[in-house]
Amino acid sequence: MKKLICLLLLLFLYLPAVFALDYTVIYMEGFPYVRGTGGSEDDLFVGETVRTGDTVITESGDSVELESGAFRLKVSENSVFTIIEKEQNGQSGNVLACFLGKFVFSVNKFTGNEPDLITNSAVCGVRGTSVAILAGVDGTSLIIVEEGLVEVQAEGDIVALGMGEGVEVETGSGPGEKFTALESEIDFSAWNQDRMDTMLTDPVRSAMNIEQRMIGYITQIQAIYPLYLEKKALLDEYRDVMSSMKENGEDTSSYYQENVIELEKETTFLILNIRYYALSALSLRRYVLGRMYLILKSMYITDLVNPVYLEFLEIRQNILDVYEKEVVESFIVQADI
Amino acid sequence: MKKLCIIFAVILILSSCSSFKQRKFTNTADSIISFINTGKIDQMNSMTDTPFILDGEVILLAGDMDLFWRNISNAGFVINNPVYTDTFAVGDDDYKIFEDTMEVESFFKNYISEDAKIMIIETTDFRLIFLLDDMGKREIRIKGFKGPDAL
Repeated sequence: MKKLICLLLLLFLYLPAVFALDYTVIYMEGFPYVRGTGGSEDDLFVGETVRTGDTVITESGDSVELESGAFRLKVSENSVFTIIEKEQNGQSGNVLACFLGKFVFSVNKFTGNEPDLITNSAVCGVRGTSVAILAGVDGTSLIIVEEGLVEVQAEGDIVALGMGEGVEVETGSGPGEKFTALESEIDFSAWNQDRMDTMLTDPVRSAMNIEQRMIGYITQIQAIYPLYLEKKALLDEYRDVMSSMKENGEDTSSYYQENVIELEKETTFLILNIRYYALSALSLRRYVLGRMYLILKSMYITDLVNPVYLEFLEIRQNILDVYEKEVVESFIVQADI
Repeated sequence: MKKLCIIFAVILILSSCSSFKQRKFTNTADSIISFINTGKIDQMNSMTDTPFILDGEVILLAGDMDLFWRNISNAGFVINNPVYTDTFAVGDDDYKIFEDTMEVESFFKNYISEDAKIMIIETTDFRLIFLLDDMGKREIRIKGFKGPDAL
């Protein structure tokens, strides 16, 4: 079964997303690059296309502006930005993910099908808006609305933000208190430094927050997976019937329309969503937990038996164990890494 | 006699090529250790290639590696009296030396050339592992770091 799922995941990796929108690079500074599905890395240039599954990476001094129809977004320096495909309300669409750094999303005109914007700690539903999303070193997010409306969801709680409002969402927690702010007034470096200081003051707590979020992703996968298996089994059954019908020279088109087509769509959407949560878990592990490990290891390198560091390592290992067992073994393929 | 001389010369050339290559790796490791010990971050950055493997973590951003070298320097980490105890070409299962995960295995499959070598370095207190790769044009860069593990 695992092999079958991996095969399906690979198939999704290399199939062009039918409903997804491509984004075109309209402006850039420095040397940003894109990691494609399969791990290939290429420099970005103006006019190039960023597709679903691609990850745009900017280092210090880099920035990229992308456009797709009415949507425009700017990825700032030191950021990791990904376009992921996900099913929502019976349709496949893009989710724009900022796992590290900052991006600003804006809409020229209200379309009613704006993509969700996500970080490691929050999901933002946007309506005709201009919004800045910041993802800090410890996975905490800051969401600032310039125009329009944004609904911020985290750990089951929802906060609605209007123009000039913002909210901070700590990893593994619900949204904090709303506050009044403008994106231009926020010093991202200072905010990120503040997040870094918080993480260094209590790395164990930060790691526990990440563990909470990882469990959240795994819970979502575990909720969908049995349903997927159920639908897949039924689909296989119907396909067997169709094969028998074909062998008997019968016309299968009406049987396919009545029984199979909708089930195929549902099964596809379920695996799409499993994949969405698996990739989100991978990003949490790599861009938040991995960086946290790098920072703490380098700071404690002459004192690796420090109790705080050891406690952090223990929680990190717990997170990695559960991630490897529940996410990697079944739902991540080498091409994702 | 003439044939024997030619064979001997070929063997000599081949072995000197291999030892020359080996020396390139050792020289690079010497430089890296010297730069770490003297806190020369810019030089370390210029010898570092991303993606980078740090123990079991794949590090994508060059800025993160800059932070790593800077932090270990600020922490006062030095490698005193290093001894190269082993150097070998990276084999199929050698990714497990860093960590036995798909993350690390995939890194070794995708980002390491067939000329890459693993160098094991010991001091009186700890063991370190460098993953060095030949980028061509006589340029060797560090692509992985593991340790320090207490001896």
